[in-house]
Amino acid sequence: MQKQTAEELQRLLERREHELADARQRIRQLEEALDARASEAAALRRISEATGQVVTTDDILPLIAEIALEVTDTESALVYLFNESGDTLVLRATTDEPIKPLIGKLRLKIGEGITGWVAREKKHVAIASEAWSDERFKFLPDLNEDRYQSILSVPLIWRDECIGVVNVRTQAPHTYTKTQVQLLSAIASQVAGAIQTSRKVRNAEKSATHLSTVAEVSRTITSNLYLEEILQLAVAATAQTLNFKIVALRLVDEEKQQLVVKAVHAASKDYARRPPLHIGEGLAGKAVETGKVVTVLDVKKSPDYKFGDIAREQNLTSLACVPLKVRDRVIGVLNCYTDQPHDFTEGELNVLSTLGNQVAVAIENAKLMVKGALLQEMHHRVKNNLQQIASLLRLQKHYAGDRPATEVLEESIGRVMAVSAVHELLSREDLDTISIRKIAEHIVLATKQSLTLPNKRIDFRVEGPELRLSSHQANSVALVLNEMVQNAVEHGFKLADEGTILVRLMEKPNDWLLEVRNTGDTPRPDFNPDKHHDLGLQIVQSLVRGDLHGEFKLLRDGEETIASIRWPKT
Amino acid sequence: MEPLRIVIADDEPIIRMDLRRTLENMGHIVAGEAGDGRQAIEVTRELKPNVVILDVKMPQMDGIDAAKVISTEGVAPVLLLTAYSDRELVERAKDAGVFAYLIKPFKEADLMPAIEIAIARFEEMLEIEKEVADLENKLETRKAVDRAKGILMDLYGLKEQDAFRRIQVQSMNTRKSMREIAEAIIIANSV
Repeated sequence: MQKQTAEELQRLLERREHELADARQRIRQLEEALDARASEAAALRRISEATGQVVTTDDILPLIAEIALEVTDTESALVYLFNESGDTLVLRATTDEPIKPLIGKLRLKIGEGITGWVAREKKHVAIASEAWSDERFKFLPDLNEDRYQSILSVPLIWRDECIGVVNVRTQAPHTYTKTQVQLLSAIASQVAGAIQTSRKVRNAEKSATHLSTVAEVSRTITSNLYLEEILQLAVAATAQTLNFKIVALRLVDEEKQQLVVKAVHAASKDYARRPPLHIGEGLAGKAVETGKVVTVLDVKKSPDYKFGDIAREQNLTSLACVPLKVRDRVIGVLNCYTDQPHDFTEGELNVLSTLGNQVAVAIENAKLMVKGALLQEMHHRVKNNLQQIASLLRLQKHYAGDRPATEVLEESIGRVMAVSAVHELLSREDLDTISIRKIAEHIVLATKQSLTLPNKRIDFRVEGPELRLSSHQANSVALVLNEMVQNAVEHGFKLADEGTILVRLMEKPNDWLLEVRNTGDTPRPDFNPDKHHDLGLQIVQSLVRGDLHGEFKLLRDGEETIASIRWPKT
Repeated sequence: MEPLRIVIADDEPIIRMDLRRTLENMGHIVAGEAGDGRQAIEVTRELKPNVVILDVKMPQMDGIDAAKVISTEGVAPVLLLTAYSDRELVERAKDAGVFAYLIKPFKEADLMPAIEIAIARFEEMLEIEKEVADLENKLETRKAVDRAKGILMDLYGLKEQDAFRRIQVQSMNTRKSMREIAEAIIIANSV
């Protein structure tokens, strides 16, 4: 009994050895055949290494078909792979010339026919003859399957998952040896590995570019830039990294409920002139309204697209409108155009929505940042002005002496009003420069209103060209002018009851000249502004010298007293 | 309290007027004024005041950069006057060697304490710097004497104590520091 078993085992081993030798020989033949075709051999070596080499599936599959044919000594080979959703097998390669047009088109559901069965069960099927009589057989006229007696169908298994099927067949009956089956299975598993690796590499590459795009865009837009620059960068980066012909960004105008073009990356400048869209209007409007990405294969044929003529002119084809969302609020839309018809994949749409969110957050941040910077600047200015006012009051305290409190306060109020005139104009005009004429009008009006002498009739006039100064200089001019006008009233109309005060700005070749002329009392002949210890004059002197780098003069011209400041143009 | 000599720098003439008047009323001397940071450095270098008051936001060069130059040169203690009160600025000011600061608008009563703090800290810093220099000198002396001792021991077969004694005696006889003697021995040996 034991002896018999031993003998049987011996025979079995011998048979195995035989088969192995046979297999080795086949491999050698195969290698020789492949060596003859150097380029294909290189490709095969890459496959048989079956490690993370970057080879595209389309390069490998025709080779696989040929190798399968040679290994099994058959006449026809077909390679099927599952589609992306994993429920349908698609013919991807064949050695049969007449069938080649079907590549990419012929589809089999999982479980359909022998091939579908192999894919579902992850087991091979070998039929030596009359394959058509097998119960799993499904007749596909395109494949001339009724002509083939034998079939060997092997699943491409990678990590317990079937990713496709390789079939070989012969017209005459053909018995597939165990070795042939094993060899084909071995090749199939290596191929499966290579295909999967190549797919993974491709996906990784794809998501890497996508990720780096997102990273690039978000890096540029989160840096400390102003809003306009950020918008321009966002469209440029999106267009360049994702290869769009035109990328345009529209932002929601909350007041008008419109979408306004804010930034465009395009060869021509025409796009920027496009009119605003209402929310809900056109494809972009729809994307904003729904908060979802809207795509269209060809804008020229889309009835919802608003600018068909421009699209034809500039050859715009596919479009993706990506809403810019911050939390649940849509603040705008990114319109990405291609010049070739392009079917946006789910992956691309994911990247675009991520990008949209990034851009939206960056825009919101930038808005806050601009507000923040403005706020800080305002804060600084306010504090500085409070300091100036505190300084004026403190100086007044030091200079007050024994003058009545109301008089001292009246003077201080005048100065504070002069400073506030600058701010009122600043806040009204939204520019950082202020009209000196307007300041003069303000000061004159304030002086007229606060004039405490009811029986004096003073006619105020303001003359001169328009001159705008920075807020800093305007502030100094305002304070100086206030002192000059106050002095004109105070000292010029002690005795006289009637007269004129004229504020006149004049442009000289190198200087500006600002005069306050008053008809009225004559100043004392010994008056010297440099030696005078009146606070008003001290303020005038130090501001004119310190801030305007000019000079102050007080003189008498006929019937008029003239206080003037002259400072160089900058 | 002895009158202090003070330099003030602010681009607002009104604020300078106020500072001058307030400080003079307290019995101090405003030795100089500046309207920008660069001028502030020049005036401070020239006048070497007891304290310099710098506004932060000035044209040409801001108060913090000016403070950095003045502090590095150790000319005078800096009191910073600022309308900003954010932490970032305070940090920058600290790094620049500002010894005290006042937030605008400042109260008359706060001015003197801030000046005193600036002066006290500045003096403290000078003291520490002196101490550091002193310690460095001591360390260098020790290093030099150790090396010189070694040389003498090798050359004349002396014991450590005797080698030290020789350097000490030489130092006393020539009225030179031990470090100088030690360095001379090292140089002589290396020639």
